[in-house]
Amino acid sequence: MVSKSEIEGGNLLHQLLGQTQDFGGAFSCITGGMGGGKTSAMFSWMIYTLIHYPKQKIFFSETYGAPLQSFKLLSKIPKDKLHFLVMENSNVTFRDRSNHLKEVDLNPTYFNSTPKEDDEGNVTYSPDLNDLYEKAQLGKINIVFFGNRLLWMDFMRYLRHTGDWNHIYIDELGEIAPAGTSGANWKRVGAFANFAKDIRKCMIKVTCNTQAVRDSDYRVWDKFMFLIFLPGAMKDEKHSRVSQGAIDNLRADPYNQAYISSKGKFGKIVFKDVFAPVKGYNIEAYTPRDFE
Amino acid sequence: MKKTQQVRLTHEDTIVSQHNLSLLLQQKIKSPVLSEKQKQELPSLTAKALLSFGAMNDEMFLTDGGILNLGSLHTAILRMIDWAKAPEIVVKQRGLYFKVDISKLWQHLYNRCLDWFPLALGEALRHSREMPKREESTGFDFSYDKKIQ
Repeated sequence: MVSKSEIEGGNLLHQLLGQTQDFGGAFSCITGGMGGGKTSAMFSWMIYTLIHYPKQKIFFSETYGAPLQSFKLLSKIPKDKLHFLVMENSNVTFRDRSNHLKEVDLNPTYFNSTPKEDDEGNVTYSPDLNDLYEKAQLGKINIVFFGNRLLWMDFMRYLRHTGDWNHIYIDELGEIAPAGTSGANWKRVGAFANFAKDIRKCMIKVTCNTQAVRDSDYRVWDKFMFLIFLPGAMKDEKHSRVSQGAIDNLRADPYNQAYISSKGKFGKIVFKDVFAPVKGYNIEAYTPRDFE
Repeated sequence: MKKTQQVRLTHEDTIVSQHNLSLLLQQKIKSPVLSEKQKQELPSLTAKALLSFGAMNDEMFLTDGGILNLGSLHTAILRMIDWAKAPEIVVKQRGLYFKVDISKLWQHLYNRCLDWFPLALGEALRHSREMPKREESTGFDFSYDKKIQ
């Protein structure tokens, strides 16, 4: 028998993944405990977009200093569907964690950057976002490395001017729009939060994941249109009706169940695809900024 | 003994059925498997008492996930005795699932001589520590290769 939560889950998922001018883009966040299936859920939607909307650009933001998650996609798609893009002068390198951190060449495409010198003579590089957007390929997952994850906020703001449907998937939103910033970064996150209200109108689908919504700035999580709770997630009373008891009763075996919640409604979904690590790929992206 | 077609039992019926049930249980304890002849010889009132329980509960679930549809409770009690190796059974009642500790059920059956089976079950349910659970709702199956319409 089909339950109400199943019907509602299907409707909300249709709004989140479908593409109609009425509904437009979406800003969603997947939360769940460690090993709760956040990345798998995001990858399911990523491949869904790749298959059903091959003429749209997909961007993926990975974390630094940990095994790259994108190689898990190789259990479902061929390797040539992964396209690595690295900013020039970003000093981002890829290292094999199974081979004494030996540098490996993932054959990335480099996009331009422009140098900027501050009053103290320090040179920093800003990405040429036009060049990045042009070099990103259709029908592929474009995995982008700026060497500084905060730059993703600028890139999302840039995308609103393209006029196309675009998809951004962000692993660990807390590193992109972190909570508890101060000074210039506080203003920068504020500007991004201000822009986030336009994500829907600008036809951008932004899907993030985080262990807890509180890892990211409160001004940003006020803008989430969809919240997805996987096993181990913490409830978000302010933005969703899903209770902690309901989340705790979600099953993780054999498939991950999740609650999807939006505008006071919620439903249940089951992720049928599992993305296991692929042998031979234990590669990390390294940036010296990690130690700043 | 007054004969009636109603499922509801008189006080006299209750005492007799409880007595017969006790005999049945004792017999079962002595001999793990009842012969067909022994089953046929069981007093009819015991069967009737069990049937009235059957009217209350149309399904009985095993904790290991097995399901038994009960045609009559006569069969149920015999099966339950066989299941006594398992510590608990789960009973569906009014759409809710109750976990019943089978040893407590027997305890009620023996200790309260005026209770007959359904009442004993009721007692066991009241003492059940398991909170009633609703049936689990289904979720929308998502797989990337199927387009959502």
